[in-house]
Amino acid sequence: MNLQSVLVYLTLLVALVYLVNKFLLPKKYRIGRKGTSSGCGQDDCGCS
Amino acid sequence: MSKSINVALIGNPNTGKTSVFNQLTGLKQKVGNYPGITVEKKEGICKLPRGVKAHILDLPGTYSLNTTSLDESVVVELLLNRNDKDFPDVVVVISDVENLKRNLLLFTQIKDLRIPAILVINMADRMRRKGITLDLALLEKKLDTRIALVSTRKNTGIEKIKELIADYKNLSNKPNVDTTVIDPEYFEKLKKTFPNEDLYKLWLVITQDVNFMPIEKKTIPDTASFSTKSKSELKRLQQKETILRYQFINGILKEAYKVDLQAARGFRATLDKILTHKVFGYLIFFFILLTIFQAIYDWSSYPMDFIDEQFAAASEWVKDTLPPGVFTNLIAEGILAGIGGIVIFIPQIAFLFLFIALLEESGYMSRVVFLMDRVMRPFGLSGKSVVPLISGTACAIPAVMATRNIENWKERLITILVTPFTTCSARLPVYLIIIALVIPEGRFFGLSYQALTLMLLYIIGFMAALFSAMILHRVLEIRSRTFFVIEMPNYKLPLLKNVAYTVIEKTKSFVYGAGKIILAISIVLWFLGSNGYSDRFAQAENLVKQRISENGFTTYNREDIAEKFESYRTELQTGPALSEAQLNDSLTLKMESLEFRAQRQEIASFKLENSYIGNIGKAIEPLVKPLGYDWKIGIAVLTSFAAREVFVGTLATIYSVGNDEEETIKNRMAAEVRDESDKPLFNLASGISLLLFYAFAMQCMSTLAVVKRETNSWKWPLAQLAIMSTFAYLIALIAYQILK
Ligand SMILES: Nc1nc2c(ncn2[C@@H]2O[C@H](COP(=O)(O)OP(=O)(O)O)[C@@H](O)[C@H]2O)c(=O)[nH]1
Ligand SMILES: [Mg+2]
Repeated sequence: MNLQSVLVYLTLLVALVYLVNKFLLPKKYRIGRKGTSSGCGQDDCGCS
Repeated sequence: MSKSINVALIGNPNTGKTSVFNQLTGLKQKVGNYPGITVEKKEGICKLPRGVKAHILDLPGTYSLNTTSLDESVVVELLLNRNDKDFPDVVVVISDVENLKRNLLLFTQIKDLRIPAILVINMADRMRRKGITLDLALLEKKLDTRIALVSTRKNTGIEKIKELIADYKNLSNKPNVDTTVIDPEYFEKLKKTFPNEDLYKLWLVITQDVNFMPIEKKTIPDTASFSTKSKSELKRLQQKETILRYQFINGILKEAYKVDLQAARGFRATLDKILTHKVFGYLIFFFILLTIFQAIYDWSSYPMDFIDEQFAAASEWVKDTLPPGVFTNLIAEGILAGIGGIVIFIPQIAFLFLFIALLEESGYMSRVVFLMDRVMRPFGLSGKSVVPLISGTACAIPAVMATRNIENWKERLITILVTPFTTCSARLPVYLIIIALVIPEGRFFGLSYQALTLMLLYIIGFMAALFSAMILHRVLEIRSRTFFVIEMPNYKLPLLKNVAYTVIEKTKSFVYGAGKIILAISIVLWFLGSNGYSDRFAQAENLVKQRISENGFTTYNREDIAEKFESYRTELQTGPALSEAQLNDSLTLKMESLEFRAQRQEIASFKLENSYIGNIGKAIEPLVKPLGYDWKIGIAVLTSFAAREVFVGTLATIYSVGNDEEETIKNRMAAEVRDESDKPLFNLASGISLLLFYAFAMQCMSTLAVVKRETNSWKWPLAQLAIMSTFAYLIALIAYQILK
């Protein structure tokens, strides 16, 4: 496998981890900022 | 305990009862700016001079003793029942110096019940700015009471209230107004029938349920000598009473209350009259909305075109500069397309928030709330639901949270449930691109068809919200009390800083909140679209070349080539003269390049069709076909259940995968054809069907999560998801089947 393919799989992994972390995991298992809805802008738009 | 004085704080909503209560009792509790936040019973103890104690009761806001709501009847029931353990020895009527006239109506009624009453004129700190001067001595004399001029904000006058309460025995309990003059004959009879009762109290008991039916109804039985009047007669008499009271109050205030009439105050009154007018108010509101949508269209088209071009160029640049390979493709086709799909809608979203912020900041929004209360009532909503519904045009999430200041739980729940119907900014990208594709560009009275369609979609969203509210209002069996008061802030020129802050904050929250999700999904989709497990995927190139050599290009490509070739030929013939050989050479070259391009496109589309994503899309195609969509739109719709705005990014990725032409998303969509008929995929029928699907479907994970949080149960969000999406499917189905 060449470097470019490795990078593609890495990026894909990051994206998948982000989505699963955001939507599928229950709150307590989430990676990063727990509980609070920071990084969502002031009014929580686009956050769960 | 027996030694303590019973004190009741009564006053119009938002006059500062709770603030005074806090100052007197020292009990800490929340003082909000939401009109009528006081809906429950709040009690506290206050130490008075000379070691006396007072038991203080903070009552719900009341406009008058002519009850129109349960909350007001709480106050009236207390005042009419001398046996109640909370029956006040003295009532402290809290008034707001700016609205003294309206506040005094209640004061005179309490006075007429012969309950000792002290008048607190609160918000004294505002007098200077408003140019108000008071003749307190004259007021005390005319109203036959003692007055404390107070500012809870500046903490002045509180001691005076305590003194007056301690001294309540010296208050006069003579009535202010002789109510019997409104119908002397009737009151005379009343007096004869119930000689031992206070006349005004009797009158209040009789008229208590004229406007409002309390749960426990007290009635006075008809006797031989006395029969009560019909409701409408009583209502008329009640109006007469109000007029009488206002005459009395006006007479006093004319002497004791002076306002240095600044132009601004008169201006405000006139403006209020126009903006909340029964006809003009709505026309103006409608006109303002129309202007906003037109502006969003016209102004944002320039930055959008610019962004569109920049991303196409960036994608090209990446391909030319980076070493060729799959990761380069991912950047150019997956990541850049994903980011472009977000960034391109920043201008529109920023403009929308700009207008909302301007309306809010200027004070106009409160007039809209007032205006709309009339409209909202029949739908089981309150005027306050307008704020969530209008904020819902930005994002349903803050809108659902904004329902917190609707006190009535049923109204609040209904507002939460219907808010996702309003056109949120995430729908905007979907709407805009589909409208651009299927709605013609013409104008109608200077308004473009496209802008009108957008406006119509917003109206449809509101209508859906209203009608589902009406149904919910009937269906949900929840008992709760009504309470509605609107505060009208002064008009002011919007502070540029506040407006800018709102616009930046909201835009940022769209870009970062939704943007990250969109980007992540774009990457996943790109991967699914450029990889496949089947043999057909691996052999795509050979299979397509073979097909072309046997059957030629697809109809769409054949016509496209012919057309481009013809226009090239005309171009050459009108240009500088060429020799026959030169001409033929150029034409051959052109034909080769056109055919090469078409071949690559067909390979790309064949690959996509046999990729993972193609397989998924094909699997759900039977479900979306009756709506007029192909499997590509099917995928976009499916991924939109995470967040609607993913739609455009998804299509961008799907279409640009394996396509290294620098075509913009829109043109690419316009070029899509149906497999079976070679007609454009995006025509009026499928476009409208798609617009309607997005208008009604509940496609936002984040909103569902917030609804769960606000209602504290999964029941409501899941019901929302199921009902809204099923409804969306049916409507889209009907629309397509009719229009096609
Ligand atoms: N300027 C000014 N504002 C006040 C004063 N007292 C209360 N307020 C404000 O008026 C609003 C309503 O006060 P609140 O105590 O909740 O009124 P309630 O509804 O009668 O209980 C709040 O925003 C208070 O901050 C005052 O003396 N001066
Ligand atoms: Mg209060």
